[in-house]
Amino acid sequence: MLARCARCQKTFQTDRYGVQACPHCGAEVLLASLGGPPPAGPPASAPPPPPGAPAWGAPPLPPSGPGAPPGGPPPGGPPPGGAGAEASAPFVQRRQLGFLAAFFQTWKLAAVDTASFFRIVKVSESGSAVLFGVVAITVAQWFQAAYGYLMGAATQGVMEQMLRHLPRDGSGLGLDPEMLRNFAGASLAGFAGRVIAAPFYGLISVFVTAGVVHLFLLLLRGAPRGFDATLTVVGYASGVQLVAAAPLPLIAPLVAFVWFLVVVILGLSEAQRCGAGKATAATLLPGVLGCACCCAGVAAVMKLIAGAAATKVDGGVSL
Amino acid sequence: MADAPTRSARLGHADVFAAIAALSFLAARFLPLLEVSFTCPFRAATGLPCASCGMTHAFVLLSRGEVAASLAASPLGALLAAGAWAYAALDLVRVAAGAPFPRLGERALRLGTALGLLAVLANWGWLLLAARGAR
Repeated sequence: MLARCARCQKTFQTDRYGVQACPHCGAEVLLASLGGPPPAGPPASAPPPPPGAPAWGAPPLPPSGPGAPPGGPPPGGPPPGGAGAEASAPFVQRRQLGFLAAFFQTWKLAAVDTASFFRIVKVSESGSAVLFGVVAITVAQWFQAAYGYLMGAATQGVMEQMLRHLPRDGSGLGLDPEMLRNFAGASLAGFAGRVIAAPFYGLISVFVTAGVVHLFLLLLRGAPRGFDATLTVVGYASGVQLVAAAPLPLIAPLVAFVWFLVVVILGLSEAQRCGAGKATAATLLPGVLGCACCCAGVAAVMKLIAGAAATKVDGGVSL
Repeated sequence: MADAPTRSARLGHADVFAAIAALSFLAARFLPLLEVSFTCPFRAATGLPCASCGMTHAFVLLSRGEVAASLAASPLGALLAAGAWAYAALDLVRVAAGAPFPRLGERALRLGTALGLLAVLANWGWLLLAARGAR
């Protein structure tokens, strides 16, 4: 069978379950038998997994959902491998693995190996999933704030030239020089405000998204594993928002958003065992039913926080 | 409607949502949200309001105590704001008193969501009629 090392992510062939060394990096890999007894003892370097828990390097589990073969488990039925066939995400073990290593291992699993990851990830550890999502969104927001600041600084030179040709009070053209400076966007206070607000935005984004999607899952009778499963999926799926940190204005956030939706749909269908149809409906319906303005409201708050410190709002300047 | 209450030793998801609701009040009350110029993409494309148009106005106006104006901006928005803030206040009292959180059954949540969806559609109908009347 083919196994994958949780540390180096490389695959190797093996013919036995239990603890063994990765031939590539030497790390200990635990391959638990899904149907058989748990291994005799936990690896020395890794935290003790629960009995019967599969490792992320374990061979793929039988597929579930509407596309499952006739012999497979029915959609909405018990998790494949039984209730014990769950594993903590590497990010849960961040103290043992190191924060960055655990983060990127989890990111890779959630973003690339989505279905397999959410099929067996433990949903009772939603706190780590939320932290994961908040970290990813925060970093993406920080990068976007930095790009905005740098672009604003680049255009400020042009604005300064315009200001030199204006009367001191700007009355000649009806323009407020201070407003022009702020319009250029090179406000350190605005940048700092956005940086500080980013983690709160991330936390609110993860919880509100999970809450709305979960309500729709309930309506469609597609949430047999509860809110924790939805929150876990949205939290880990938010990791792909990190793509929005790429220096590609408009394109990177769009790619991140579409990827996020795909991961949420795949993740919900596996984690909630509800099938792709219900997961797709629950994920996309809120947007279709008019969340655009609500999202715009949140975006407006972020925009305000970014610009409020440097803009004379009392003077009626629209941001 | 509600199952037997359960006691939680620490803050749970419900409390996070209460905190978010409280934050929405603070944002609506103290941030100049209405100064932000924004055009709803749906309205820009069709000339008609979307289902959640007017929500920001409803939140801000209600936070200022302008109930009638808030209801006029978006009846559902006003109700949502009032409900969210009442929930936040009640949860604060509950936490302070150490009382258990009443866990709602799945059926009750499903019914609530269905009613919420109907409310969204009714609100959209009202907004469309109001927009038609304003023309």
